Amino acid sequence: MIKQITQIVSWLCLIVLVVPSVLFLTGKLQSLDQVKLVMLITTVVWFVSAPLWMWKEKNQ
Amino acid sequence: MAKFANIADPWMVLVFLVFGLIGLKQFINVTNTEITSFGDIWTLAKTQIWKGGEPLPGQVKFTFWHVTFFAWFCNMAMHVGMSDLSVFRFAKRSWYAVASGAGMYVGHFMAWLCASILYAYQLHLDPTDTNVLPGPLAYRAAGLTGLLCVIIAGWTTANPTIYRAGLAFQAVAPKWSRFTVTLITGAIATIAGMFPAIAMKLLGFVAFYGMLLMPMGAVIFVDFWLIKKFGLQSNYAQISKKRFNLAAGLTWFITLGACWWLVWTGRIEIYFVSLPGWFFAAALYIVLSFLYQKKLKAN
Repeated sequence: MIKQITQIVSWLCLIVLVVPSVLFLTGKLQSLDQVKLVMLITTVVWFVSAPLWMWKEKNQ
Repeated sequence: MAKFANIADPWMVLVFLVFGLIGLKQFINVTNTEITSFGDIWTLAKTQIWKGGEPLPGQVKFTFWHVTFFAWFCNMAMHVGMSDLSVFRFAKRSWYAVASGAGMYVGHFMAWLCASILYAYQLHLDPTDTNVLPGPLAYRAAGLTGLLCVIIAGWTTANPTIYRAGLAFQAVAPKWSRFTVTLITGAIATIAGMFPAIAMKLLGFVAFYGMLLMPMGAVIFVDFWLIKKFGLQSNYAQISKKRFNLAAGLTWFITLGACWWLVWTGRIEIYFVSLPGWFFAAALYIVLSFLYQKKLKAN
């Protein structure tokens, strides 16, 4: 169950990592600083959540 | 290191993509271009981003073909020169080799396109700022995430090469542990990379070391896949208990000599010489093996 949650969280992170830049490109988001902030947050969450299931899978 | 690279990989690819998206938008903003169709983006790309120009002093003018050849062959030492085998020996399935191809497309097409947008944007803002500094470029586009991406991309790209170089040094000094030689190799490479005089020569250097290993890649390919079809023996040195396969050695030296002569005399640029060189080495190895194996069998 925990593994599934961390999987979902980490995959969501990758999606959210890209979405702000797409919105920025289309003009729906004006502030580049906001894009950078969201990217930084998703990066941190990705690097915390991904090892919880990726490294576990490798060890199995 | 490999475990960390697995985690960094999907994230890194997407950050590279983001570089391109943000860079494109910055170009649209700074040129006040109105985008209503894909044609507008194409015009922007042709007139503002990839509009050509004179190369920096001391650098070769890169054409479309330079980029294409370089994208495929700048990692020639690994993928064609077969030094990838040092890592792929652990592969559980043969199709794991597609990782090389996939990495080339993402790293040498998508990432280069995105990086070139960022550099073109820098030049657009200040034509005199010709510094090729990935850190500031990435930081301007994607902040700390971009900076982190540059560091991690450099590190994860270098890891397998440092490992391979470590293995090579270990072959010279077998008593040293793999950990020690890898650490020393990494330290030397890191210090060397800190000097722009070396780092800025990277293009020519990777073309050179790709050329250096290319003939041996052809020898390995022919020896494994083709040589039996010509009625010749594979792994001949091992089977005939020789310490040196003269056919392989001569193929290496003659091919290198021929390639070097072509480059030295200006008949062909170093970026293009290795592709025909590979076919030359493959044919030469077959011919020399005919002569060499026949001679040893006669003795």
